[in-house]
Amino acid sequence: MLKKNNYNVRFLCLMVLLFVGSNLLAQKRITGTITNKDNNQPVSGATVQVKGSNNATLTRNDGTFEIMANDNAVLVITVVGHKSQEISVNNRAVVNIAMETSMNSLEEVIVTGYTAQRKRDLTGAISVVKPDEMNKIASPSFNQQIEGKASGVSVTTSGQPGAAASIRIRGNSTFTLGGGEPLLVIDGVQVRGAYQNTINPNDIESIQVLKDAATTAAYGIGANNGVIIITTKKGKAGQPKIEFNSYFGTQSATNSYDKILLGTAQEYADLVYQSYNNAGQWPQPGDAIVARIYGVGPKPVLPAYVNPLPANANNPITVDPATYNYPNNLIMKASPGTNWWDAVFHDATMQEYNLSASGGSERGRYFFSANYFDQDGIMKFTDFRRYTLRANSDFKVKGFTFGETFTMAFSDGVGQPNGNQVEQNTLTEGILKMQPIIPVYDIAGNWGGTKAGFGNGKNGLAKVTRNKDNRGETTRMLAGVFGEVRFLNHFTGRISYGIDYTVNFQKNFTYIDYESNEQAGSNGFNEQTDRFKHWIFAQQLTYNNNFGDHSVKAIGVHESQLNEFRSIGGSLNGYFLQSTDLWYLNTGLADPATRTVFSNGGTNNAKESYVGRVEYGYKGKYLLNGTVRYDQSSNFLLDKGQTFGGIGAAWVLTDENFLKNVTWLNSLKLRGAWGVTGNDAINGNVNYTTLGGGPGSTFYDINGTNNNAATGYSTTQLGLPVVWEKQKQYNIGLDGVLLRNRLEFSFDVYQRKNKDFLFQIQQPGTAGLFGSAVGPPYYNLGQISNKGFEFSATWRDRIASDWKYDITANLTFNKNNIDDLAPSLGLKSFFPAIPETRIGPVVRNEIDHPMGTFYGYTLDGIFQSDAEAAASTQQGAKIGRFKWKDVNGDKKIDDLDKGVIGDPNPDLIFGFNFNVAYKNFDFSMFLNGTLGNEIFNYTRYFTDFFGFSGNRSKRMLYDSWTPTHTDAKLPLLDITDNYSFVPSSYYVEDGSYLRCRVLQIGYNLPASLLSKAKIDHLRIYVQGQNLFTITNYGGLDPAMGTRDGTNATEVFSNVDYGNYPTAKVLMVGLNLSF
Amino acid sequence: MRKNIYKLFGALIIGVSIFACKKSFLDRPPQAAFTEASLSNAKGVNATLIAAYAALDGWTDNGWGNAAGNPWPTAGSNWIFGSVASDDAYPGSQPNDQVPVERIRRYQWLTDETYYRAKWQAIYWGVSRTNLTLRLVDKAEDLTQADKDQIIGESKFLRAHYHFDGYKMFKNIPFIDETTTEFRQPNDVDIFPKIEADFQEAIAKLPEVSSVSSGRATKGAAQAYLARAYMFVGRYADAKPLLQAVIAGGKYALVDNYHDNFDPATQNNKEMLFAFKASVNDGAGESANGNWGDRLNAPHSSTVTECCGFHQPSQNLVNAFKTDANGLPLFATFNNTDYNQATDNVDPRLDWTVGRIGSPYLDWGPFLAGWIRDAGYCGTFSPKKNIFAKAEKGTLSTASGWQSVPSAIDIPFIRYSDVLLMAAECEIETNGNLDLARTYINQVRTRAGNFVQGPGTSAANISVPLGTGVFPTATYKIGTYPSTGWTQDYARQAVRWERRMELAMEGYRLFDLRRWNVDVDVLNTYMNVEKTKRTALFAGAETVTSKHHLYPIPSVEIDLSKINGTAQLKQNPGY
Repeated sequence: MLKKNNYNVRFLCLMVLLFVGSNLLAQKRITGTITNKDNNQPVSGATVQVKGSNNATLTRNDGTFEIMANDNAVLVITVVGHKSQEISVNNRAVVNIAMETSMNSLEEVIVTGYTAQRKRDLTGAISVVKPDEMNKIASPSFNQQIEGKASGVSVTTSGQPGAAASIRIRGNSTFTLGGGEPLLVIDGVQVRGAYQNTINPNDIESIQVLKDAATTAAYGIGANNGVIIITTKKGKAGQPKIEFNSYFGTQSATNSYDKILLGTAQEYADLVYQSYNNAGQWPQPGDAIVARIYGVGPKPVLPAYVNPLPANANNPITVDPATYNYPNNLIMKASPGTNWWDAVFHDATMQEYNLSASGGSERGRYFFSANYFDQDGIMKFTDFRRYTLRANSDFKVKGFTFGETFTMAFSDGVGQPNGNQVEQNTLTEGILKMQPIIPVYDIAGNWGGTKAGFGNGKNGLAKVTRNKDNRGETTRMLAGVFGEVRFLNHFTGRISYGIDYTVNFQKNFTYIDYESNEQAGSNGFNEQTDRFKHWIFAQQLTYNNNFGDHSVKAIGVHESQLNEFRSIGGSLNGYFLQSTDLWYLNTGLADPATRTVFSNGGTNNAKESYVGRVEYGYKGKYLLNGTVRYDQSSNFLLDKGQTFGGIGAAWVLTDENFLKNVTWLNSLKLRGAWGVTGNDAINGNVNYTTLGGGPGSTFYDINGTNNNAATGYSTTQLGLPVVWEKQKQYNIGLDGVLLRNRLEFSFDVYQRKNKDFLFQIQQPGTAGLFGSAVGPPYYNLGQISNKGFEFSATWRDRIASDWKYDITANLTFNKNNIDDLAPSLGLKSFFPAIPETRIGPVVRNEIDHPMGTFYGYTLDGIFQSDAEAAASTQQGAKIGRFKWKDVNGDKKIDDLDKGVIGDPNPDLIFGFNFNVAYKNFDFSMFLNGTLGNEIFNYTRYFTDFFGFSGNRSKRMLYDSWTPTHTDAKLPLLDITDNYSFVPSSYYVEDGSYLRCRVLQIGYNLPASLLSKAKIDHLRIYVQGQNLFTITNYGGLDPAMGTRDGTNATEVFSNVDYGNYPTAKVLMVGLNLSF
Repeated sequence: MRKNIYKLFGALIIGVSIFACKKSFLDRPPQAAFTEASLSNAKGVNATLIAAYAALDGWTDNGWGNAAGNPWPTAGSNWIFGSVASDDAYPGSQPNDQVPVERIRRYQWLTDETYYRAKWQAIYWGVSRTNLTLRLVDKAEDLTQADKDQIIGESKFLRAHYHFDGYKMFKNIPFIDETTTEFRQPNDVDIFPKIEADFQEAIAKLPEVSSVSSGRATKGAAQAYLARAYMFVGRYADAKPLLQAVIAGGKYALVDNYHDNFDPATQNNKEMLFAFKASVNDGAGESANGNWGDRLNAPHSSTVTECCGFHQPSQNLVNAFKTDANGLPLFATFNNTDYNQATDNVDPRLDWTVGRIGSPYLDWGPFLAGWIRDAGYCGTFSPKKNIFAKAEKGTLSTASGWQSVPSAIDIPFIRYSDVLLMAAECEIETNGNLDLARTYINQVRTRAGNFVQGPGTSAANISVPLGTGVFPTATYKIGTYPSTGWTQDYARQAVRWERRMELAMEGYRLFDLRRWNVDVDVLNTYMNVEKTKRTALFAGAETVTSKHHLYPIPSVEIDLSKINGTAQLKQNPGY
């Protein structure tokens, strides 16, 4: 840790820079108009800058500008879609400039965090996502919109409305919670976390994805997995402009279990009886429950009614519907085959309305927006709604600029009962675990269910219906203020403060479900409130100057940040009445003895950082930059401070004489970057062994009172001091513009090696960690690397004057690998620390393999004869059962033969975009997907084996082994086969897919029509999303959402627990501005 | 003017940097948690000792939802590993419910079964809590030596208990003490001497006094427990003096009513040497301090509880309660015909142990057929020792949460009747005083004849003295053993039988069969008969062999014990 004195010395140095010299040269007012050379139309929003200074302004709607400059100053004019120009003032007072149209993007200004550069001056690998491309995907979150739009970027999410989406840039190199996510910098405020639904994507002006150390090094410890810079819209000088965008669409499920699950009660009964028959038996009188329902004998007989009458009644029982009594004698009419998917899923609507107003003058600008997003889920009674407001403005007073960005978002919604991708979620319980004979409603119109002995599944429709008022809410404020001063021509000082404040509230009522086999004992209610607070305070000094052919920019930054989180909740049971008006924790409303209050603890961490960056250019063709950042984080007990940094260099080859005359080559630039970044995304508590506990986990009734437990405490976290993850990375890139600006491409080769990656390794049982009662320690475990290359290219052209089109392709090849594991620990592999599955661990990480590989036996066919089974050393070997491969070759089948059986990481991720415009019509199509990734389809455990008395798969009935069907995929239907279900390559499937994310046709109403109504622009469009998906994956959706739970995103990627599938959307929309 | 603005700006930056540089800004101790240092005092050490007791039920509410951390396999009662795996009980419920229990019942003992691992973890979870206490007790300066001895004695008692629980299950396990830092320990050394040493130290340090109202370990409990451990490894001669000391000490005695040991209102009694003390409605969510491990083991009825119908007594067990005209067991013929309440005499303990259709079920009224989840699968008997009375529902059982089973019914670990039977066994096996052994056994049988399940449905007449009521659903008859024919062989048979009756469904049976080395024979004989009665249940069952003497070491634990690729843990023989 730095000493206070040292610290102040650094700052004195900064201040000295501030006060050196103060003579201002004489300046005068210069005015002018910027027009387009092709059509003589005024160009609004162009940047006019005095070269070598930060003195700049924007042109108004009529193309005019005014700026203070010296007589010998050079003005630099830049605007998107045009070639930049430099023009000398030459003692003039009026400077008019005609701009040439440019079809390449080299003049775009790219915000790279603490600085902004023209694209042609970049040395790093940066992808830019255009808002207009992004907003073609209807979603409340930009995360989902950038999927496939930028090379190197992959996004995973589920189809649940409002679901979190996670982003990985160039693979993943960390297991820390949220550490794999890129750092988000929204208008200068650094934020993390999965609450990105609270940023209205319509407010976004630009998104830049920083991928290599030439730029990310400026963010040091936060930047290990890339940085996404989001700039929201500001007003432009000129007339107020109103924009209105809206769409309305309907969604339907892209897939269902219809292809997978048995559809009729008869098929289900046949399957069960076959599994008895194959074991040489059939349900006997007085035998298992199936006999009570389907009768005795080798063949099942479907009953007319089912109910939970005494188990020892005759088989099959005869049910008299007249004896119905709620809730004690619930009688159901046997269903010929309930389609539980259809009971739980339906078509649903989504809509969004966005209104913005912007404008201003050179003295001040403003941007306001309001947004309403409303999506009903295709799973009934799930939805997500969001309301946002934004106000961005800035004001110039003399040499000072002040401004703020402010957004407030309120969202609420109902998700799946019990969460996504967890074993007991609705998809699993309400659909997979419900036999087709159970009707949705019983004969009196109450819920049908499993009470008559149909396992422990829950009526999915009942479950989502009861869950409909269990709404969760998020309120988030993200705000920043800044002040900036320009002085001495070349200096800019900036001071800013940003705050990110979020409150989550969730309430949850559970009802007694009389129709279920294992009903709840009492009703109950709980609520929980989480509060997140984060602030960042930064000061920045920038120096910018040109000396002849040399251009220099230097930046110094100091920033400090504080993060706080705390949470409180409570529960109460035995409500006297169930009305939502009574969902409070007042003891008078329910059984006071059951009231509990709990705190989910808290986090509290701080960071303080210094950044220095220098950018140097010679003749605009040799470009060099270097960044040093010193970070201190309270998340570490030892070595709080660490220095990071990076250098980047670029060479514009086309500026050299030997390429000057190559006409087909417009621009060619070679780039290289190297640097070190870090990651501190752990909870600082893990450095310490902590103790604690609570009433249920450590308290004990030592005095035998029966209702009063004495206070006890135990270890809750085994701590070890750890250090940061440090990543060294290099990048070599080539950017080109060819064939008269029609083809632009970018190619990058990269390698990043993350050393000392942090992991909570599963400890041996002897360490005394059990369940989640004691957190295992973090270790700096070893090195994870990602190597790969990215390619993106855009071809843009016109055919005749009316036809315009462009095609863009993004490809990323990435190879992930665990290079080494701490030799001192003697590890070759390690299991995740957190809960697994009912069939034991299915993920184990191994040295020299990628992260998160699947673990189990390798399937080696099916035992085809008694002799073959008898000769096997495999436990439970029997004809018709799965046979495992002797992987280690020791002539014995045992646990040592378990190993890597699949890899969740894709070899290739890709996106293709096509745009065509003809006169006022436009068409676009966007395809994306992955290749070479695998999925552990855990839902097969529920559908293909006898683990639960739920519904079963068609393949189990029709493609299981029999003596006459020996090339079957599944083992013999055998009620006694308790062996074939264990984790094996049977569960592993190819997860590659190609999906049509967007297909859109739009029409711009002619200006002649609109001008009468004083409308600038009106476009209407129809659109389809997710219209088709090409995949071999047999589960619901190969684009896997993340699993709920601590660190689960990183550790259980592509384990399919029954995912909320993506919806197909058909919509109409309009864009209007005036 | 302009310069002043700059100065202002600069001063602001410096001011902020000084503020930001305050030492505390980057110094953030753990939030909402204690450290070892903050608990290294009398109050803290006592609290960690309480937590060491709290692990006796093998259940942490934090583990809920963790497939491997379910409370059933870790239950302090060992109902799956000691009872379902023996001839006492079936899994219960219906097919495919808790499949691991079915596999264990069918002797399909998989090395990667999650249940063994959960039990393994729960054992060392308890061990680690005792070790924490032992580490902190040394650092607490405000404790007297007497306090320290008491705390060390209790901790070592608990540590020995946890290790012995693992020893019974797996035998080949590592011993973890308060100095262990490398947890990848081998299992190739017999840890029994260390268990013995911990119990010895507990005996030396713990007070004699029977603290009737307390759950704390005592000298008597440690003596009896060490005796049990000695007997487990065949050291009857070492066990005998310990048991004699407990009996001679006079601190413990049989209660008059057998059922008082299973009623939360009367469990704190002079017979209970050591138990897990369950508590409900005490502020812990879903009554997590209740007896969670046995939560599934209740009738499947919306009247009594909503759950779940597990741990159903076997036909064999029920038949074993049959008695002859003298009220003595039918050693050879008990299983020839199934118990018939109209014609057979029966030990009164049957109706304290087993719920039978038509017979009174505590004060719940006659047990109804509809309370059985799937009679075809596991028969019509229901567990009873862990069921609270109707009059106790909601006060001595949980008033909140999923299902209504968790109750304040304790898990007895050592009862005085067990002490008497162990003492009897020691006399028999050491060629000691056979008559003394008979006296001990007869004490237990005499007590068993005091009270029987009453026929009424009120709380007051759950228990009635035998001979005072009318019992339409059973003919109770229990007698004492006469001296005639009381040979060593006969006595051995009698004491083993008595243990089964007295401790039925309490999770001891398989471990008793193991230490008598009769498990292979008894279980195969049992299955050969049972599978004709419960076809679905025993379908695909494996034959019991010598490998079933021990449960398999969980394969994931073997994997986790690897150092440089070499597993420190070795699998048990036969797997």
